[in-house]
Amino acid sequence: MILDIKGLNKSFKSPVKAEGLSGRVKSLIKGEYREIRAVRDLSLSVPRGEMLAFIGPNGAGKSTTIKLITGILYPDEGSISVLGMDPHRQRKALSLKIGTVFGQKSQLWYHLPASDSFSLLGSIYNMSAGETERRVAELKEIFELGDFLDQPVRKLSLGQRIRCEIAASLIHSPEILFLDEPSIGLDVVVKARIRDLIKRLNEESGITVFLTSHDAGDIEKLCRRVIVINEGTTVWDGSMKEMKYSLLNRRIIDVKLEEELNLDLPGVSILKNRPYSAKLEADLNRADMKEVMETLIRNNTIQDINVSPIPMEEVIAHIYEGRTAGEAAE
Amino acid sequence: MRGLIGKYIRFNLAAAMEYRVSFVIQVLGMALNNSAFIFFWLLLFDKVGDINGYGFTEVMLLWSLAAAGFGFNEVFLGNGRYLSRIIYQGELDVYLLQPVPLIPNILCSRMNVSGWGDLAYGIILFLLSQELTPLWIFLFAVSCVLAALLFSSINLFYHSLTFYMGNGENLASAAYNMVLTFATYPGTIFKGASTWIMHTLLPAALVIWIPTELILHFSLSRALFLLAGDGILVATAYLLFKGGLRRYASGNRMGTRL
Amino acid sequence: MRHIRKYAKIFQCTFRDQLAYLSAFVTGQIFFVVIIFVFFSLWKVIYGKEGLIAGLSLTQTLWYLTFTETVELSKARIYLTIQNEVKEGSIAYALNRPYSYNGFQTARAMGESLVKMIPILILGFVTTLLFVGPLPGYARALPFGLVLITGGLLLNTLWMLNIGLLAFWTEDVTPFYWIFQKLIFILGGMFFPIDFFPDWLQQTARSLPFAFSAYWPALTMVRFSRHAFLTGLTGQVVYIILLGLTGSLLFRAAQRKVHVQGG
Repeated sequence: MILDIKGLNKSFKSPVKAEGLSGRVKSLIKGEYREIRAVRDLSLSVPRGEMLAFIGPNGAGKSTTIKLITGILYPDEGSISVLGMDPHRQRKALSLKIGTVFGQKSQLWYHLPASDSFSLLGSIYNMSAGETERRVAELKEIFELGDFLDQPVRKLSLGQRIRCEIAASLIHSPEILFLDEPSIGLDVVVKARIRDLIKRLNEESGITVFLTSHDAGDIEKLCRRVIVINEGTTVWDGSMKEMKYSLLNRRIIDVKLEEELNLDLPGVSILKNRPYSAKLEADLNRADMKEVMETLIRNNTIQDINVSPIPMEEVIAHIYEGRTAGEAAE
Repeated sequence: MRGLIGKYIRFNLAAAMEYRVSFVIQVLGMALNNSAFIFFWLLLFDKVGDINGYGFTEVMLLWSLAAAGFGFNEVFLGNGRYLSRIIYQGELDVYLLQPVPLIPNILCSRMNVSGWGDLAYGIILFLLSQELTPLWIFLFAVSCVLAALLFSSINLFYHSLTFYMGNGENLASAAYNMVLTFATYPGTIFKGASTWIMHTLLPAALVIWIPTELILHFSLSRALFLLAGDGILVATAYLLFKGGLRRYASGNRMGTRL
Repeated sequence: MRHIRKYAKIFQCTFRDQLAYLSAFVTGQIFFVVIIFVFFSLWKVIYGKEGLIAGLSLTQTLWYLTFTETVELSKARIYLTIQNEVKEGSIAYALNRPYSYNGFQTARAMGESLVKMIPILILGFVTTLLFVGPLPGYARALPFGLVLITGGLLLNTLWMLNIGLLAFWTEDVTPFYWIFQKLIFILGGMFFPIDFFPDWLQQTARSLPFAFSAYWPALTMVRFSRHAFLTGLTGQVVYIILLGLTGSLLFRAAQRKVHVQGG
């Protein structure tokens, strides 16, 4: 196991914001705090070479967990072992073996070309000038940075910048790569490109990838294993295949029509049916999307149609329902 | 680490050179800004005689040391004054993930351009207003670096309070500025309990006054006392920061991120 | 009437906004007390056994410095606001609003300045009273002094408006502000009364605009005379008009520049 976590707990104290001037003065003196348990009793283990997705709604504790694993935060309770090391005791030794990309926190110098940042990072990771040069040449080829490596970072597009950012986190050839929301704000084409790169990296160098994302696409395309976390604890842990089959197998279809809806297919349930508009849910295990679409178009005059996956919050609600149903069955 | 510091200096300069005109204006502006105080003291000493043992030349020594030490800190350890922001916005993450000594890495990674004006001003003022014996030049150079180290410790100490009690940015910058203000007046004008504060909580005495007096009249025992005091200050700041790291919340606590 | 309401509203909003910065406010106040303390320590030594220097007592000098610091520390740094608006380009939206940009910035800065001034005046009163005792003639001079202090604030605001508008031509105007500030420090008599200057400098310094930001308001407070008040007021009016004019000339030139470059 490259990563082993047992009984991890972490909470934050957050000052209670009081209203008005008198309230502010009072809170200055008394200092009321609300405790937020960001991670509770979390346990998990990850074998080498895994591509793991870590998903959950905002504030579920994904980032906190990553920060605990990488040694940024001190745990309140529990044990973490990463590559056999204790992150907060052996932070420096560990940092030589892990790479991190945190969505909004850049490692690149804004006013300088990325090549300068790479050379600086080389020094930070105790690499010789020659080693750094060779590694940058490799990354330049993998990430296709040739055209803009020598331009100031502020002049790069978001897609170019995130490629540089990921390359920067790999300069010291880490064994584990942590990606926290790497695709935030990117367009579809760039996203697909980044996914391909990460996938190639994992296949070629066997690097373990730990990914958090809101984007179901990222997760589906990249990861073999998925962990869903909510309110600081694991609510689901399984393979991508299973996840797809049992959780990401539904699509919501909103249609606007010129008459009443006329559709009766197995696996398609009608959630809402009003004159001129309807909301359907298709279960992809039982219904074929192509058939659903064709039937819809054949039987109805459609003005507008919108197909969307089930939002993450509902996926998690499903997980909870499944679990309680399962427990009841036992 | 030494190679890294060199690179930080080089890249910071390169980044500043992206806005060359602004760089030159800031450096010259700061030097000019400081020069105003020469006139203040000139006009004052024109009217009154010696101020508790300090004449014009002595005050210029005090000033050149304060400006050069402060400038040295702003140029080479310039990130200290942003530490609170780095802590409460969770930017410490980046530094924590790097395999180099944390505090030097944080402090050295930013250069405040106007500090070059202070540094140059301090050195030039020293060269123009003081006797240039090798001993004086040596003592001045050492005091300068020590002063910068202490200015950084003051930053480290006060900004580390952000770990413990929420955003301490205002308090820290007030403390930093107060030390600088005290440091640019002769220490001998202060009497009573306030001088205790200036040896401890706002240690202008350690940063500037005692070094100035040591340059004027060197005494080994006093120098050793000073070094011991410096050591205590640096160690206190270091321990407070280290303790704070355990409470680091990486931007999760303040509720400022919406 | 409607115009007055408009600017009054701007003033009012800034007033409320300023109240929110409580902790910055408190540390600012502490810094003010420290400055007075430094001045007290310095001048106490300088005065030593002498009763009067340049016709002023220690008590008068320290009160004088409290008032010049009041003007200095009540400043709203609008040159930064203007510089940011120019840099970000958001000033383009302000250009076609139904009010004068300069008028807006001035009203806003005065709102901020007066909010800052009131606690500083009170704190300055208490602190200086504790250090050197009451200022003779304080009550009588106060109404006239307040007029000139407000005038000084307006004068400073207009300086900063002019400096801020320079951002259309140069990247960073802060150094200009530093230089302006230091001219007030020295020639404006902020660090000590112009009466302490050598004779050859006194007459010039008294009539330069900087003296009307610091020296005249503070002198009127500590050594009141109708002559001092009227000189101060006349000078302020003259320089306020002058700086208002250069401000609108700069703004017009800037507008032309924006039109040529297409914003």
